[in-house]
Amino acid sequence: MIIETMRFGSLDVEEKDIIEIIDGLLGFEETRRYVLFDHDSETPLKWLQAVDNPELAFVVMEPFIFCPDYEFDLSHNEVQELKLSNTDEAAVLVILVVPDDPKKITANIKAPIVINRTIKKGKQLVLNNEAYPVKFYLFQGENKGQGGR
Amino acid sequence: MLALTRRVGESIIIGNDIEITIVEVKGDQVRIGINAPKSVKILRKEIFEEIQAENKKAANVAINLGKTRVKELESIMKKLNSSK
Repeated sequence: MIIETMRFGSLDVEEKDIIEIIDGLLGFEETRRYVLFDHDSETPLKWLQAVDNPELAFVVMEPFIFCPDYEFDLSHNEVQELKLSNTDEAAVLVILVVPDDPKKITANIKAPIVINRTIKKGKQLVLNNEAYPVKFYLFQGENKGQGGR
Repeated sequence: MLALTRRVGESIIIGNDIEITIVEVKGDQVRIGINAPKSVKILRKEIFEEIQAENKKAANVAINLGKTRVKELESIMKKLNSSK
């Protein structure tokens, strides 16, 4: 099917590639369907583009590249909702905010999106770990007082 | 907003499945107990709002990110890829 997007024009997407975000993202609860694709072949950046809202898209990436020790537990309910049988089925993405100075790019590691790759269902979780902030600076030197990671 | 007055130990039921109980009152702090199905999300409001606001900022990035910034971003992010 063809979807319209503000940034990427018309995209041809397969129904089977559409990811359903349970409850939507916080602040965007009515938008549930997204497609995920790489920004290019040279950076780890990806786009999470809403299927039903051409203007809504998020720059995302896997957090382990800049935060190798990132880890968290899912509640029993979250595992059930996402129907995860094992960790290999799960993809983790974090939403990036790119300010005017791109070196100050931050990732929201407090509220990652966990996706079950097999059934294409995902959810934005809110972690309880105080060490994981809403604004994690990808480039060191900006993480003042955050333990040097 | 519906405002009800409760004493410690008293509860409020919301819908069929959610129960709020006043557990303790100490000075200006109220300890609130919540019994709800695991599927119901429960968050301190300021955290909910913080994440909502951050998501909204992120959504604005897609709208405002022009070609120059994309190029700058790409060149910074390539370094991230290659340093791992």
